[in-house]
Amino acid sequence: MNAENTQAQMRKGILEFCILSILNEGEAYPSEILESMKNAKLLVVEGTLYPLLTRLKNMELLTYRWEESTSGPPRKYYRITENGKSLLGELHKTWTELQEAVQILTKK
Amino acid sequence: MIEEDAYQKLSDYIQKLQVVLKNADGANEIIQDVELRMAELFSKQLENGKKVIELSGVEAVIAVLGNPEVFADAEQSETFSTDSAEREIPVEKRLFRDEDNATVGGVASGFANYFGIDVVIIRALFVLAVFVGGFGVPLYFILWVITPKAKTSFEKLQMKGKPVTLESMKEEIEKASEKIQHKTSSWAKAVEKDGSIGTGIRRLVRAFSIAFGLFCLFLGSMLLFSSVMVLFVDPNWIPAQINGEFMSLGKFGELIVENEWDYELLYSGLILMAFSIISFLYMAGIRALYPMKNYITRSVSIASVAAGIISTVILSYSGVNIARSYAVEGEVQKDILTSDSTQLNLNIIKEERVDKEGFKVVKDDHYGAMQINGKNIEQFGVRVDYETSPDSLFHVQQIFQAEGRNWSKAQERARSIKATILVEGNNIFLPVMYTFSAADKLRDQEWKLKVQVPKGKKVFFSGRQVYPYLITKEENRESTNGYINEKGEYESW
Repeated sequence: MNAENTQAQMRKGILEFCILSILNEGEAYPSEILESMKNAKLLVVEGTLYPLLTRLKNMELLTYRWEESTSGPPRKYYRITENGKSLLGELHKTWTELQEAVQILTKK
Repeated sequence: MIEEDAYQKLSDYIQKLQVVLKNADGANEIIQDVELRMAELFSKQLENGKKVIELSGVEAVIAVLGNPEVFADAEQSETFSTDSAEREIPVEKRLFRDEDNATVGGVASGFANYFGIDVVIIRALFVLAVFVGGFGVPLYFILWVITPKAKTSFEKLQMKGKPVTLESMKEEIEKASEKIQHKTSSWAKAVEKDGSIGTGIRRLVRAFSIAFGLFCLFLGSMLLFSSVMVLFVDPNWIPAQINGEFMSLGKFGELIVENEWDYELLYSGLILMAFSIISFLYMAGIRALYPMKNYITRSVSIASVAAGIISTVILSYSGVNIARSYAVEGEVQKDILTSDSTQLNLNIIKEERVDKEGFKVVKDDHYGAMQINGKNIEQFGVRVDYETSPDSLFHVQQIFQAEGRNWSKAQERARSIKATILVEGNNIFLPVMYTFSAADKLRDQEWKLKVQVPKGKKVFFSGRQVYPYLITKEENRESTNGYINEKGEYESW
């Protein structure tokens, strides 16, 4: 069993949940999302973020708008949709279930 | 500004990304996001003093973003559901209407989803409910109103009770977008194909709208005119006379309706009904000509409908009320004559009227079924009913009839009918006209003569035998009644 593989799987599962949670607080562009993750000590390689963002957007869980910037290139501000909010609620439930289960199991 | 080897490294990287992402949805968007991020990082580098992007700068950016393989990993495999074990997150099933699979309102489809029964069975049940007992239609309508429509993909999954995973959400959304694509493409094709036919049809529809609109306005105006005439101007056109003049509809109404309050009610009901219909027609006409929807059209529509409903209630009540005052028939009788004579003679009283200056009124035209003279109503016509006498004598009775709300009122009215008969031996003189007080109102007041004829004896009218009398020789039909009209002519029935 490849430890790295399992770890990567764990991280990946949480990532979408985290992205939705971050965007639930308010809209943000990719760098800001990465910033929030860093502050929460969630180590993530930036490259993994973009495919996920696009996938979530294609599933209508997110949407974005362009904002022109005088200092540099225009920015994509991502925003969570109603569908996304609903799914976030469900994922949250699942996360809590898992957390409790893991807590009980790892206490032994 | 970028160095050549740096540029080479950069475009290699992006090419690799494209390869890695070639099966992904929105590969272009992902790369777009990456390029934006790169631009951000590069401009930071330039801010920090660098004038030119060097190879090391590109490598640094790539390090931050991650190798192309990282993108591949992120792209593959779903997170909370893998192919091997789809976690069944039990979702509470909620009742929604399924408008995607709806024939009418999606009620049946929604129920089918909720109960897990085939939609055909549910529909069959509804149809059965319509034909047996008839409550199918209102039931369906009520369910339609109270059941919400499944709008978002999330709600649609809840409706079907499918576990909410990224997989299933993706499926639903794909289904939805497919549907929209299909719809728009077939619509676009149709529009394309028609082209000139499309505009032709549109023009035709527009022409119909205009014609319809003008018709509504015309109809509304006609109704407005007649309503104003009848309800407000109230001209005298009814062929019945008051003191020599034609009657108006209003006056005629007063003779039918029992009291002032009922009359006012009826009148208001009619005004409201007229307003409702006329405003509706004007609205429909104007909107057909100038399609618009604003708070004015909405409030007029509401007022129109409300007035319609209220006036219907009022008029129904009025109608019932008026009908009730004709509910009971009262009858009174008076014995006129008993005779052992061989024949009975019926005659008309020739009234000689003398006017103010002493002239004899020779010709007096009556218009219509009644007249009002001062405080009295004058009506005309007498019925004569024949029967076989129980003995060998003639028996003649005068019977008065009228209608009313209850028995005593009806009787009272019958009694107040004035029709004075003169008797001389075996001659009976009948008046053509009878009167009663206008305060009694029109309540079907009439009177008739009941003549019981002994076997073998005859009845004559102005010298001509009227009983027994053969009406048509071929049919061998005997006359059983007679009617004396306002001109004083006798008809055998």
